[in-house]
Amino acid sequence: MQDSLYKTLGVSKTATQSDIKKAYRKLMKELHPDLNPGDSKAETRFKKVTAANDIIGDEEKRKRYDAGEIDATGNETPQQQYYRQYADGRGQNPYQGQAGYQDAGDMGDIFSQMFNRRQGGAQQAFKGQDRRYNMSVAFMDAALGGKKQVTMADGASLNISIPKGIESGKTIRLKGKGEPGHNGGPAGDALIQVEVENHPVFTRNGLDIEVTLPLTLYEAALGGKVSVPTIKGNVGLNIPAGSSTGKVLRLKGRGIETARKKGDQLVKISIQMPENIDADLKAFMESWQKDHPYDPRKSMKGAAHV
Amino acid sequence: MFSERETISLIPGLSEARLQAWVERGWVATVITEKGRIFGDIDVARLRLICTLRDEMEVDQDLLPTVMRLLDQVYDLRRDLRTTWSAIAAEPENIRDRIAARLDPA
Repeated sequence: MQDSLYKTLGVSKTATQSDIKKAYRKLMKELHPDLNPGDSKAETRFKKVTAANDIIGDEEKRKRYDAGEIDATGNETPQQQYYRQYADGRGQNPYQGQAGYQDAGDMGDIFSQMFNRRQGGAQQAFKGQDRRYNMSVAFMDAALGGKKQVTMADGASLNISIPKGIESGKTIRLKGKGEPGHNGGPAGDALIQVEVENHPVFTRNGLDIEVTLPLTLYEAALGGKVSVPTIKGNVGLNIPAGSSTGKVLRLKGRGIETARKKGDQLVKISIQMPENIDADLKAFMESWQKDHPYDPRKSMKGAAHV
Repeated sequence: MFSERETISLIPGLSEARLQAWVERGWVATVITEKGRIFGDIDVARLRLICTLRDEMEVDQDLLPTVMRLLDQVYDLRRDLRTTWSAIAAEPENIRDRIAARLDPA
């Protein structure tokens, strides 16, 4: 087993550190997972090569390895987040849109349309490359739409209209704000991928807005009208008497509104006890309990694993 | 999302000057906020890859955009291929068989 790390890198036991480095570089160029997406054999070999280099590529560790103080598996490399884990996924990412099919005859047109590729220009004129950006957008601006001024990579300032209802991961395309075109071709576009920030009160679920509404003990018991924040301002909500924590009430049409659809706001009730249980409340509860016992845990009976 | 400083500290070999230059050249996408640039998971992974290409594989600075462009095309092609596969997979068996026969003329 003693020579296996040298074998992995394809060098002799007497190789110099610089030979090992060179061998490692060569193998890395060939095997790096980001250059071989979908090839698990290359990945396995790359891991072995990297692990070998971590030991014998380091003069100190190599000495200890040669002396038998550490074995070939002695060093575990931390799990690296490879680029391909993101780039090779199904989701949208700002680096796509590079592959063209204009040379594939009739099928090229079909594929271009299917995959939303840009159509090619004349022989010599090339459209400039698209520039890719990400942009974080405040929750309310994303929900209701808004304007945002941003600074582009070249220092230019741009006003961007944020369409109402935009979701994280969606892209805003600014025509002609990318790289300049070549030989009279049009400029590329700026593609701005949106990341919507969280909101302390509102949570988004598709077009619906979810809110947790804290209620007092007496509001929950007696019911009544309570003011609830929505993305367009406060709304009076009728709480039915006897509402428990977890009950969800729907405010129809108070969610995110897009050109075509309107979401709802879902209000989840959460009963909050008073900060202090004073003598009055304690006395009342004790007497009430005596005459009106009830069991909210009926359905849990027998569930425990014995 | 990571701030510029967090991003630099995450990636061995990445410096402020490099990050600045690479963003300006459009090698990596940046998040623009009032507080400055921030980077997503995919951007950090891409920066790490660019550092690996530059420092460990010794890819020349002038050649790097070519390498990244080819890589972007590979990932795009893979994405389109997968889309095509799943479209074929959703077809009834007789159509799938017909396509399979065309792909394997032997």
